Amino acid sequence: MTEEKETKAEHRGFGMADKEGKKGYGTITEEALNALKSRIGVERVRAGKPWQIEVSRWTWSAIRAQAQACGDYNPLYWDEEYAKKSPYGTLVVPPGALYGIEQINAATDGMPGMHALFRGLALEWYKSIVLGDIVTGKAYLTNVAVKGSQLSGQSVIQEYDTYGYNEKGEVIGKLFTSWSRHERQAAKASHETARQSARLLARYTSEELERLREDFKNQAPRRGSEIRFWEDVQVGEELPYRIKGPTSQAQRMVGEGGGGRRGGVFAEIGGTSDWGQLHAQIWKMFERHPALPFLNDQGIPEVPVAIHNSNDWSRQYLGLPGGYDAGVQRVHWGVHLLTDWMGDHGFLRKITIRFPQTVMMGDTTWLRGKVTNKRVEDGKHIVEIDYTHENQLGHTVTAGTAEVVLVSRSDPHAKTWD
Amino acid sequence: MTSGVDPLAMEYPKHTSKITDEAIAELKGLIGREIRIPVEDWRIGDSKYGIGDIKVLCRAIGDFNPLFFDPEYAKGTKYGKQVAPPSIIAEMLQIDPGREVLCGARPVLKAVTLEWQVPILEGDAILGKTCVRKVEEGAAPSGDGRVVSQEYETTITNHRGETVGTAKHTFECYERGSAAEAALFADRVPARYNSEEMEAIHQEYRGEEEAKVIRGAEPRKWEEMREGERIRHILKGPTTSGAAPYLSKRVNSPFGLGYSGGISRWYDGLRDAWEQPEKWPELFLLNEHGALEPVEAIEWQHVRSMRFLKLPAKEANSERIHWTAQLVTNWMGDDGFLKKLDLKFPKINILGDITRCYGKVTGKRVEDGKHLVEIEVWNINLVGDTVTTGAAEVILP
Repeated sequence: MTEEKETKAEHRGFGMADKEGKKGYGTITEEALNALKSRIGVERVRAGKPWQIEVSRWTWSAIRAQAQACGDYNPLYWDEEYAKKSPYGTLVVPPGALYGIEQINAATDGMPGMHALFRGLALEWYKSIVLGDIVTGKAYLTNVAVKGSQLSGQSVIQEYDTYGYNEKGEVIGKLFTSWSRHERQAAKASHETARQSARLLARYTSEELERLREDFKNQAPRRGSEIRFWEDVQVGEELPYRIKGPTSQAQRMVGEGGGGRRGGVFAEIGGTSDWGQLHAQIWKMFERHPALPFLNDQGIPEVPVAIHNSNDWSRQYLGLPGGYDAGVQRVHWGVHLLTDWMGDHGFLRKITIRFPQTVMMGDTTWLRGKVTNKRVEDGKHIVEIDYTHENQLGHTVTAGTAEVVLVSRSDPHAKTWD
Repeated sequence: MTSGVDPLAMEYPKHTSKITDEAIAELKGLIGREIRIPVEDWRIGDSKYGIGDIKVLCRAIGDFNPLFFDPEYAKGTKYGKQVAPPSIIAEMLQIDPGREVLCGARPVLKAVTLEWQVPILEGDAILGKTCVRKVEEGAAPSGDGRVVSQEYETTITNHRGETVGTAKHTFECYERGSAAEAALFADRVPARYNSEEMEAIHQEYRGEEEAKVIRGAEPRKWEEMREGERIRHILKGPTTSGAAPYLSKRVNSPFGLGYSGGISRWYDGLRDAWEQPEKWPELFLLNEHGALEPVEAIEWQHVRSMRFLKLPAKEANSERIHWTAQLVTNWMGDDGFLKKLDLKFPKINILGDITRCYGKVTGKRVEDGKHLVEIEVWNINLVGDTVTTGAAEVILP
């Protein structure tokens, strides 16, 4: 059992060696581009059986797990009595959950072997999501464009529009996602990864940790049930900051790895995702997708999501300083900043988000926002906000814009959403 | 805030914990009191097992018996609907040793006795009530360090008020970093598999499918049972850290009732990273980043467990409850009923182990008009340790 007989090829994963021999694998070819372009405008829905859709209904325990994963204790999500008295009249689902309508991600759509980097996304909300709702999605590839890139010479931009539907078939929101695809060999030699590798993992002294604790305790309370009127908002006004972190493996498992029934888009052991399987079933999965697993420190094949939630494995298998986040939870954190400011009567109608840098495990992130404009459109009183997330090194890791609808004193009983 | 050192290359002191007289007295004070996680009536509806919830449960324990997993198949059985894997009642313990009591100690499940009266069906919600029955400080089996043994008894009912069954758990809590704790691990080191060994495991799983270990619709007849008849074994593992967060203490049951959902039953990693260490400092240690992280999480990977605890990562003994129950429910067929499962866990598994679950018929009897079969069960891991011993009772038609 202890004799090591593995060859280098075997270390790359269960069957990976076969795929890399294929012509054109991992490079931009005319053939691969055309194959991908032929999917533009085609409706894509993640294969799901009725029970997998039913299990995604937003029950009280599902809402609680989602809110807990974000570290957001807004009573709209937790307290039925409070929520009944709110404009929603019932428990509310944290709006970042709309991201769950994603049906397809560029990493697994065309041009096999090409590295996929997430560039950014936008979310638009038309209706609220509340207790008892089921939200489904339909996605369309909208754009495939070759461009030059600093990262690896040439890359391909790949973009999707995804629409979210409630059970009545009404469109309740929309997700736009943008990816860039890179040839893997070139990506490995890129400046970006070199820069990331140069950065060491955070290590806080006890004084530094104490300052973070103070920042956590000094967070201003959320607006809550007190109406924030559009007229009272000043352009240039700053939103009360929020602090998230230092993150840890424990936090990742709750926030991104799927603690409880639903905690994120990644493998949920025991959940509905095929990646979350064990014993006999995981072998069936590996039979279908032999290039998927990596071999862990014991020579056991595992799904790759286990790597990025481990400092040691991200170092060992990817040459990164440590565990990196997948971006999902930053969407939720950003939503938390905005919903805490807007109050129970406001409505988050849009965010755009880009990810200039990775959030490494152990990082602390401060979320800040500023009002940049106010306008009235179709009777809606809108506030525009720029926001950034900065880490403990002072680097901006996330940035974007948001639009919030607020109540106007001219019509204080109007609801801010459809 | 980065100090120029590589946190993954540093040496860290061994994390230790102590079991105090006060903690033991506090636990003893609970003897006889009923403990249950509060559940308001309006949440019961949400807690009922839907088709998907039972499937999720099956995935968590690796049990794809169509009686449990396939609602269409289940319609054709005497139950008329999906049945939940009965071993789920083991997850209904309403108190968390090592956290809510004897905080900071390493809890090790030493024995469990499960008894069932009625099945759990799709549409049922199950609730639990736990009593602390016994608290005893034992002489450490070997080496220094306090060891406290506790027995808990949990009654599980469904939302109709019927008693589903009972679960008796015996835990031993160890002081972390003690010689007594280290003795649990003996000289175990993490297994290292080569590609031939992995492929052999892969083929052994395929062999199980070909051997049709799940009896299914064809009834096993009590009259035909013979003492000594062997039950074809099943294989589990190798266990991985991808699964560990969910199985660090308890199997992921779909709901917040009982101890489910892995670490998320008590920790969010964000607010709780500041608030929980103030309440329960014993549950935390300073991690590679110099920040507080639950010791529970450190146990998910060998590299971290070695770094801070100087021990390999351990599998949760409770996983073997579900695997052993599965051996029996596979064998007994759709018309059998698992009445009792009595298990002891004399040795631990470590992460990455494989375990084979064995059984054989030891006797049969008629009691209160029911035709019972007695089965001896045991599990052996990859280094030949008998990690589980016990017996099951099944009612056959």
